[in-house]
Amino acid sequence: MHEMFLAMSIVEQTRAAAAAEGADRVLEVEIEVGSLAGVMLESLEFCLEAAARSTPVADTDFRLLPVMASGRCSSCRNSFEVDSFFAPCPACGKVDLAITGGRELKIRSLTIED
Amino acid sequence: MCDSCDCGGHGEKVTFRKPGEVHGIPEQRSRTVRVEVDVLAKNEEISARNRAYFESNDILALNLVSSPGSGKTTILERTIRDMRGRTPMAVIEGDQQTLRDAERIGATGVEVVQVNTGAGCHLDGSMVHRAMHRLTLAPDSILFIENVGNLVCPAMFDLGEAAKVVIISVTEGEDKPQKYPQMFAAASLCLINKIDLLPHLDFDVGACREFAGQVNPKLEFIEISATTGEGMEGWYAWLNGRVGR
Ligand SMILES: Nc1nc2c(ncn2[C@@H]2O[C@H](COP(=O)(O)OP(=O)(O)OP(=O)(O)O)[C@@H](O)[C@H]2O)c(=O)[nH]1
Ligand SMILES: [Mg+2]
Ligand SMILES: [Zn+2]
Repeated sequence: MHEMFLAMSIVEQTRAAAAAEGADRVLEVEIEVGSLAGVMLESLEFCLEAAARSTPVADTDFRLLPVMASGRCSSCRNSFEVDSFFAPCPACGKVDLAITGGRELKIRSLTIED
Repeated sequence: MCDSCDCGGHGEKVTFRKPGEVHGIPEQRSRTVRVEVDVLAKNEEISARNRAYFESNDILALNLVSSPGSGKTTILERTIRDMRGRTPMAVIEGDQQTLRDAERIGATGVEVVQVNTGAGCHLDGSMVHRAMHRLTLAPDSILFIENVGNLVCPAMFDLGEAAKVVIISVTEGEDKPQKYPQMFAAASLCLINKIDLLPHLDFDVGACREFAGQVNPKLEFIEISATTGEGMEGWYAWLNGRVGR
């Protein structure tokens, strides 16, 4: 599904960022994946391997860092970690949630050799 | 770990030290740079350009999303036949294969471009951008973008639309909003289609609205039948309230 598209974007953006840094080799890439980003970690891992194959980043270690989503109860303003879009507030019990984090999919850092 | 022993692998650095020196000086070969690149940034950039174009030309662009077969094309066929003459309209059709939906829309007399995504399970900003160039988009018009039938991936890809319209038909489970929360969270309007079939099914409209409301309290609902036309005025009123503004 769309994980292949995302993997290809990550490979392309990694190469662009490495070129901008004048790097010879990319050892490691850290990628933050929010738990509500709509991305399956196993699937993305699999696709990254396929997308990187026979490119200059074929040996790069693409590390996926899961980021737990968080939300704020619109009713009592309590902030808490969530694992879905409709978790009840642990403080007041209402289901009235605004997601405040955990939808990101971003490349956080590159470890490179010059 | 490296492949041949338990040395701890990449983390371990070779060090060089003279007698008397307390700390080893790690060999500086690699460095880590923070980049903070949003993986979808490229799509967002193109979509932002689409959006700016739509807004400056008073084109109401709507991204229609649903599971396969919920009735997107049927809704568009009826909408176009009922609103033609009053509102200029154009359509971008997204499907993995075939020109079928574009042919159905073309038969109503409006301009349509079919995008075949092949293996792709969603439209993206660049596909819409390229399709736009093949259409004559009049000011104060509506551009309907029928996305690939799929409730997962299209939720992640902004096309530059003013709003996402999610369609669920009563032949599906009323718990769809819980199973596909991303999509229901991203939509502005939910069309509940095929209500002509309600007498034959035990689809609970109230429960469906409640599930969807938990994911997105701001979501609006209109119940329609694209085949009998029931409820369609509500949808037309929703469109008329937004077009040309
Ligand atoms: N009974 C009934 N059938 C409908 C209604 N709307 C659509 N259908 C039928 O549902 C089937 C699928 O409709 P389409 O309009 O092709 O659905 P779609 O969402 O465009 O499908 P894809 O493009 O393949 O994802 C067709 O057989 C339609 O005739 C409705 O309101 N009531
Ligand atoms: Mg269709
Ligand atoms: Zn609360």
